[in-house]
Amino acid sequence: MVPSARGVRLGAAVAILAFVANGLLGLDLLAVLLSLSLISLAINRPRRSER
Amino acid sequence: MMDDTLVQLALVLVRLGALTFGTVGTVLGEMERELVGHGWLTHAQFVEAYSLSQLAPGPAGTLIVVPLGYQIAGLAGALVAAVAFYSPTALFAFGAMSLWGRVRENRWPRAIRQAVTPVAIGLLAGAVYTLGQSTIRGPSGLLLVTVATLVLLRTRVPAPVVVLGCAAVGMVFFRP
Repeated sequence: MVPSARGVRLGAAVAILAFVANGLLGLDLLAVLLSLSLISLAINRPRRSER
Repeated sequence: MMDDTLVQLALVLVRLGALTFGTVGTVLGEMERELVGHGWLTHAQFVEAYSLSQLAPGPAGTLIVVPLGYQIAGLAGALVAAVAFYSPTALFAFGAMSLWGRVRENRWPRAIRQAVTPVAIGLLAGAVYTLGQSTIRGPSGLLLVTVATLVLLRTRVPAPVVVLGCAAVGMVFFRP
């Protein structure tokens, strides 16, 4: 199962980008997975105030 | 010739197995493009294999590589496909799960898990689009897909029952 994406910052935008890149444009899966995961991680990186 | 096919099949599925996140659905679109692109299967055969895998016991769709491998290269193809697809995940799980169990609730592992989730959801939607392109023909097909989706989302009817129900509807209404 894929876990819930609720609460992920810009999750909808990242999901749409993944859909367009791999589904519509047919770009390489590894490239899409790595690049968007890194972008998403940069957006959702833990803040110092978070525990 | 057959050995060459088995090696290529193994290489394709090892790569896809290593990239699977959460469910086989995230790599389904890529899998379809790879297997059909190599000329091993038609779009229709791929979708048939996926439908069959939905009827099999176990996690939905997980067993798709077995009928696919069988269609490509017989029994040897089924065995190679299963081993190639599941080995990376199994090895990773074997090696990393004890470590992951200790750190999974730390900040960074939790952030990585959350960050990858929307990507996986987008890839799932992409797989639906890719498969839909080759299978949904006309308004009647679209209607059947819509009804099946609503039944799966709104009720607790198991996926195999929905697949069999759609097959029955298709046999009655969509006969050539």
